[in-house]
Amino acid sequence: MSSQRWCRSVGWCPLALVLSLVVAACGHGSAADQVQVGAAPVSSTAAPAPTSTTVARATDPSTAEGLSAADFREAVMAPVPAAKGRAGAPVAEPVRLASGATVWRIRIPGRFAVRSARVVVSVGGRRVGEGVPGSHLRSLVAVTRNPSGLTTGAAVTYQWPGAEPVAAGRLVVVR
Amino acid sequence: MMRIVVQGRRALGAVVLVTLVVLGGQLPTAASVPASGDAAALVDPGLAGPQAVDEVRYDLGAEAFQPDGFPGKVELKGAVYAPRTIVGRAPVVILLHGRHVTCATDTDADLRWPCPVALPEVPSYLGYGVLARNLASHGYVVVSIGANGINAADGFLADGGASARGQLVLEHLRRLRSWDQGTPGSAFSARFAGHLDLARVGLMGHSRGGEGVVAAAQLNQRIGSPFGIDAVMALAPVDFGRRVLGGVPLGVVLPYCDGDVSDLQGASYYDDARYASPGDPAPKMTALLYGANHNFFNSVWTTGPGSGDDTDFLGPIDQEPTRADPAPDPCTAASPLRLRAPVQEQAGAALMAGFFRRYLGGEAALTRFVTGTAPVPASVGVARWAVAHHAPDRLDVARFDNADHARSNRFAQLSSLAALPTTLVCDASSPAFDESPPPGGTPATTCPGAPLLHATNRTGALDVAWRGRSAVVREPLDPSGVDVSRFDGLRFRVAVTDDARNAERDRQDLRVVLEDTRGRRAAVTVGDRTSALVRVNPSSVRHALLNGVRLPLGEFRGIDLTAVRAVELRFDRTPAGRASVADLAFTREGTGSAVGAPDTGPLVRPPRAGCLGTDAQRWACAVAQVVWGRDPLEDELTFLAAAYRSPADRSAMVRAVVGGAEARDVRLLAHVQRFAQIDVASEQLASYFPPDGPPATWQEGVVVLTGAFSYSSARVSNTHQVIDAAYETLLGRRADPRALAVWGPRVEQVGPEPMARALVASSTARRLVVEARYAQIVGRVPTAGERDRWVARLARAGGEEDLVASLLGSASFRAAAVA
Repeated sequence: MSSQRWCRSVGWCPLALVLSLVVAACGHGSAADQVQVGAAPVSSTAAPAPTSTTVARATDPSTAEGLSAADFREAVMAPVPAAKGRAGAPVAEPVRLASGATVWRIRIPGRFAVRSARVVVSVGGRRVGEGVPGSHLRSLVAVTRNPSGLTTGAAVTYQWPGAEPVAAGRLVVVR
Repeated sequence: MMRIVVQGRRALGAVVLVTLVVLGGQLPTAASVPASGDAAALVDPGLAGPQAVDEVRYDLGAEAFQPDGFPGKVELKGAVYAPRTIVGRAPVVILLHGRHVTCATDTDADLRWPCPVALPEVPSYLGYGVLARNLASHGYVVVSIGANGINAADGFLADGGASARGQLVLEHLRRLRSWDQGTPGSAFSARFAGHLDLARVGLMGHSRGGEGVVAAAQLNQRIGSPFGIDAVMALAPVDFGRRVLGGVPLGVVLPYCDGDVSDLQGASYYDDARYASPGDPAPKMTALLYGANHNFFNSVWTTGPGSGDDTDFLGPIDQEPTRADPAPDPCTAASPLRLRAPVQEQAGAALMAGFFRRYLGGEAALTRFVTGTAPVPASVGVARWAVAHHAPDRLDVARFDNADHARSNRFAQLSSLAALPTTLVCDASSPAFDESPPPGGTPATTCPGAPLLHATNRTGALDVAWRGRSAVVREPLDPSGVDVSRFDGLRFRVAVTDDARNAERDRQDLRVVLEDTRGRRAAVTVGDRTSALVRVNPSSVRHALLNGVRLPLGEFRGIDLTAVRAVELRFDRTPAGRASVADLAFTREGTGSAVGAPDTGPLVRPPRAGCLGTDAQRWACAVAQVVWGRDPLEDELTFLAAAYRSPADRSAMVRAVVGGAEARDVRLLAHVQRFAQIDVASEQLASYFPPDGPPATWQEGVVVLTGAFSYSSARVSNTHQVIDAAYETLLGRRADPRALAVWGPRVEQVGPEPMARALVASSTARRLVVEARYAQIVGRVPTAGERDRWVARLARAGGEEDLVASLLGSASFRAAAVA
């Protein structure tokens, strides 16, 4: 329970001051490794052939904000660069699409079951987008056009509806 | 080129191989129906019919169809289960599986399409054999279609592939039509020409397939209904798009232990469709299947590569008994309350077969089954469920789905919420009030303790919380009486939410009273005739779902059903409780004297401690429930209970709690909702207070917010309405012409606050407050002396706070709280 809530409940705040001091003392971490727009992206042109010969129209909406389904798919299926990131850590990396646009792909390594429910990936508390299983279900992948908050060390979580967020580790931003 | 696959082996030529599957011994047969009493007149839909069943499959290619707007081509393949002999045309049922691994071995799995050579396809479409054979044995042609191509790419689409699945269903129906028409060159034409009734089609979709079949029905309607889709069943469905389907009988099966779609979001299909289309002739039903998970309806998802028990997704639920949780979670694999896979598969098949046979096949003998008023059929073994049924032939009394419908009912009469001062219309599942309401959804106020209630429906409902036995929701009908004699039942939905007031008994109870124009009253106790009143298990998996209660009108004896003037829900059977209530209506379903199925099985496990612990904890919880409308959190409970040791400490604590912001906000939110029918979260309330801070007293807050919310909603958009709403909220009656004439000019000149202040200060308003607080807190009416004393006290500032604190500090409240 937050101290604010207790204050609301009983009309006076025995814990609020102490807690606020603790929070203030915690502070924030060291300077962030903030993603810079324009970092060298992975090219999607080397991606393996899509599983279908038909691609979506650019206007098809996707679960990734501002991206068509085709762009989302292209970003997810773009090849994973070798020897980048840290083993087991979630990775954010730029992906250049065939259209010339650059998007950011967040890969969470692990084994992920295929479910009907949607899973939401968040970085540093900000919702990045919905996750889809990566190749061989060995990662969970989200794509965004907005790199703000994609910072090395940021906490990455994923969450299904009706469940608590699952901690996925600290983000590593690669270029 | 058409490929026919038989028994899982691929035949590369256009060779038709038909495998006959004769089902003797695989299902219980009709001969085993018990033939005694009422059961002899009922139909057990889990039993096989008289017809032998053939099974054939078709495969037109892995990339035979391109859904519009979908990033990939998909397969056209299906397994057909048909009566060996079809006389004339048989109704058709399409089964559509949901999202699952597409390609897998024991050691590897992927979500691709078509599958690479090293990873065989997971044939999800072959997993509904029990249901398919059941229906086929009763004369239906059942086609279970593959949708792995959609599974492989639906994660990229905003609609989760619903539109593509809908298109896929209609494409299969087109193929079936061509076969029915005897199109030359098709092997299936020889088998099915003239035998497929595509004017009688049922759709069943599982998981994402559930939204897919709803999309198919909508698409079919949009293009002029080329197929007669007469029944749609969504099994453990997602509802990403909050699709609203009207005009078609709709069923939803919700597995209580669903570990995938674990929020049971598919309940929204029912909720959203209830009142969406006035005059909608189609019934709707939900069945909450206890102990069932997401996957075991499909045998392919039960065992084999990429499959298993999805309750694993729920995480570390209460596996082992502890002192706080004396029994394992009912949703753990080892729990005796979990359904084993074959039992679940059979129960699901019975529920769905019964639905299709009633609404597609027109079997009136299954009416009680689909309306939840039949005993649980023998074929499902230990499986139990709770049904909600929305009858198309009904007379709505009160919907309770928003503040407007809770305050003024179908007959434009004011609802009376006696002894329920904290009762609100709320959507307890709303994640955050500041989000925009979902398309088609109902905005609703968050209710006290909403995140902890485990209320599952994403719709507004009346949140009724009571202590004492005096809480009453009274719905006046037309004062001259309403003829309800042509109906056969009174229905409502109810959910017993997760609140300590419900933890002292396995189920809640209430009485329903009808009153006729001569003042005669007849009461019927709901009792144990529904599982809707069973409390939520204190487990990791908790769903308080709105389930149905039906009371036969014939049981309301001694009154004139041609002149009914009021319906009351009286929460006087138990000393305390909390429940969500919705959809009060007279209905005609053709089920006569049938009531809900009483056999709910051993659904409830022992409650957790906490509010049921020591006397101090019980008292602390009772205080919180009265003042905050909710259970205390753990640390709040500790702190409150510490004050129990002496009268002085109790008094001081009570005054501190009553004087807090939350108590004030709960009191004022109820006023705002009833006055303006505006839904405001408590966090937003401060923005409506004057710049110099919140009002010093509750009564002043009522005055200030009456002014602040006047002219702010359709309910109070003109002066007449403002006056009327103030009278209704504060005096319990509408403003008469004289009041309108007196107050109208003044409100327009100086605003509504002076009027509100005068009304709040009136003896009528003060008396109503005193009577409501006595009923709420000590469960009785005040004596004449008590009433007069407190009515006088309420004339001074802080009177209501003093009244509440005094009653909470009384010996009678403490005795009731710890009893």
